[in-house]
Amino acid sequence: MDLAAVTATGPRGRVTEDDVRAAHEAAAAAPEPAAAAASAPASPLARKRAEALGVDLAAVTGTGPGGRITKEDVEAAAAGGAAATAPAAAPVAAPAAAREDEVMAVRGMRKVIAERMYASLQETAQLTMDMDVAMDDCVRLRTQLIEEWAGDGVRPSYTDIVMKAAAKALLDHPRMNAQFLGAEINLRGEVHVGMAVALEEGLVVPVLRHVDQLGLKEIAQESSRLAGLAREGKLGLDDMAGGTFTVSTLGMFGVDSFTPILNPPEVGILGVNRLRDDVRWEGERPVRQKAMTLSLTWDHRALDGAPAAQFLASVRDYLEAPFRLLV
Amino acid sequence: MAETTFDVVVVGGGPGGYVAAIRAAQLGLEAAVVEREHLGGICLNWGCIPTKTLLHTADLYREMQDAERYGLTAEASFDIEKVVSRSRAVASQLNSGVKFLLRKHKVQVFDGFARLTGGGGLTVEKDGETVAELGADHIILATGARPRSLPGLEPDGELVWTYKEAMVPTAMPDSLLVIGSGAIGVEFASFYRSLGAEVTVVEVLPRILPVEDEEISAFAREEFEKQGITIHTNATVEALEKGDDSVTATIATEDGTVEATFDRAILAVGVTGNVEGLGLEATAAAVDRGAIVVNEWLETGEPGLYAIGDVAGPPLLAHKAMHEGVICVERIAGLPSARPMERRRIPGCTYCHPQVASAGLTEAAAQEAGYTVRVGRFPLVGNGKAIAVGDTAGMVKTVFDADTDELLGAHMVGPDVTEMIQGFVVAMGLETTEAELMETVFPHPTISEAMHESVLDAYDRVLHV
Repeated sequence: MDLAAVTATGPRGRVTEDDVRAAHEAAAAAPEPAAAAASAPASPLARKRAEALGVDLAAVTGTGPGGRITKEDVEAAAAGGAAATAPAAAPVAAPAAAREDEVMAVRGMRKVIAERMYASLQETAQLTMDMDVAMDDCVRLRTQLIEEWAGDGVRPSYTDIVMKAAAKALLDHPRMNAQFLGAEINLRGEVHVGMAVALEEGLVVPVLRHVDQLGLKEIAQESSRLAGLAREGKLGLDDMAGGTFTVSTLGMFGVDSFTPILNPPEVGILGVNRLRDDVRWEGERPVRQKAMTLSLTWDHRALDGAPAAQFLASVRDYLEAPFRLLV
Repeated sequence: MAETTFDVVVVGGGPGGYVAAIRAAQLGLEAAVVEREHLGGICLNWGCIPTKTLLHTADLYREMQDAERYGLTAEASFDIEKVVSRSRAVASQLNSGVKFLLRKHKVQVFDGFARLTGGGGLTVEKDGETVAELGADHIILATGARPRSLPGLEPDGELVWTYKEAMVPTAMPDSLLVIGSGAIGVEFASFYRSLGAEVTVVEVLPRILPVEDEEISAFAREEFEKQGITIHTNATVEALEKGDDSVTATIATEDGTVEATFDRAILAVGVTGNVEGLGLEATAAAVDRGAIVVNEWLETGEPGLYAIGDVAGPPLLAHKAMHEGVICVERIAGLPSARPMERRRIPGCTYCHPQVASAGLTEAAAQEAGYTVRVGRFPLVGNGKAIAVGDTAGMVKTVFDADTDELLGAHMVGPDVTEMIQGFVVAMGLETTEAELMETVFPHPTISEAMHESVLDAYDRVLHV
């Protein structure tokens, strides 16, 4: 008998002996075979994982005894990420064409970005979480530092400060400073942080080396040097390779929150959003404060939500007590 | 000498080797075993089986001494010679059993030491002479392991024993030093203590039974200490000075160095693979830290050459060796159902009192592997059967993945736990989640109900605490 054709009534949809008997009797009684109930033999854990990961068991090849689907099979199918069919878009009434379409060839930088971003979304298990940060102390610190370093022409940005906080948090949470390489996860010993820079032609990501060992002033100098090179189109390949983590800022465009896309094999990218006015409650009294949302995308294949959240909270804690960035 | 050819030749007739040969015969392959000493290997002749015989005697003796508790009168005494001779008789009975099984499956047995000669050839030597030349498409090395020794603490078989001498004492030592607290060390400590010896255990690591879950180690330690066993952890034996009929040990402990004299000492600091003299040098097989390097199918770097069991590395367990033998041969025979072993699910059992049994990840190992864990515990003081038989020193601990509810590990200490752990092993093998385990009806009254309760506890549904 084909177990896939048996209606399962056991725990978690498991096919029991009675189910097989019932199906056998039904088949014997009915002239036509019963329609397949689409339940492939799978372990309870495999069924549960399939449900959690949104994997269709009918599309999974089982490698367990007797071709049974195991947890590993389901997770492999989920990681293989066979093209999840996108829901069909609802038809929209076409407006009258006001002007001609313009066709742009996808080539050069656009092509590279298209391929990399698509591959990143296809090949990793990335997802994003947001966390709010109280920024009053950071704002104060930045104002003081701008004044302090005015003579040297160094002007730290919020991105620089976040980068410093992230570098410190990465040392505390080495699982985020890693590369997912399929069979193994390489926890990188050094901290090199990529910094997304928007150019007219597209995005480039120069890498700041050994950020954990750089002071805030050095980070500010280095990031403005690399951004300058990027704008002049003078970045070398070396300037963009070897990152262990990335920081991407859209705050200057008024973005509150977004889902940055991973730069594989890195396992984390931190989105920096706009500084906004927020309200904090002190007892019953509302107090105005500066706040910012951080958007962390991470690769669930490399680490789970709890450690990712702990990393993000660690970044927040550094930013909320920014003197810790100076020591 | 004419070469005799086989499909499979297994070198070593221990549990891995003889099982591989039987499985090969079942699959229609012509198989032979080369054994230099005893069929059944260490397990059957000098390991698992004879020690379990001794430990059963110790259990009975302890219960006899305890007879009054149960309203019985018994005069407990023992004759060590008879205790040992029963253990030897059991080993010998099973050794004949293996001979019979191999004959039944038409597996030819060669008595001697095998040496690889390259290209699928083997010579068998006995007393320095070549007694047979064999050829085989597939050669499986199952040569086992032997006790590891430490510099300055080399066993001499008289005062400083390995497990082999410890198993056949001619007289009961009054005091005994056990160096190493893995399964072997702890079992001998338990045996000799039960028969009345003053036993001291020295372990270099921070806890005894170091591969077990920390809570189980701590529980077992407390029980051993209640029985009067002295335990030093984070300690090393710096020197052993031999007297006429005693050894004086210098033991460096956390609280300073102590000197103590014992009748005998047992060295139980692990084993190392028998990789020497096999002619491995001429092959592409690699040896790493005393073990032959193999892949998931037990293949070495040399085509047609395989290694299974202790010589293929840890865990050093007979059941692991047997299963590897089966996988290796099924792969050779091209059986489509052959599957590599889930190494994480190999159970481990220690037959001390109380017994210890486990499978899967410890809580600490699960956390280290990045799991968020859910842990359940159930103490045997809450189990009716354990109270009825008067043996409530024990607990069952289960470790689940909080994200997927997969049973990651099960850890037990207490009476008969070595007989019960298979329940969890079957559950893990079938990839059950907490739901199936909670829905299973466990028979009442049994100690196994503690397994159920431990799972319930992990999900805050425990009934009897």
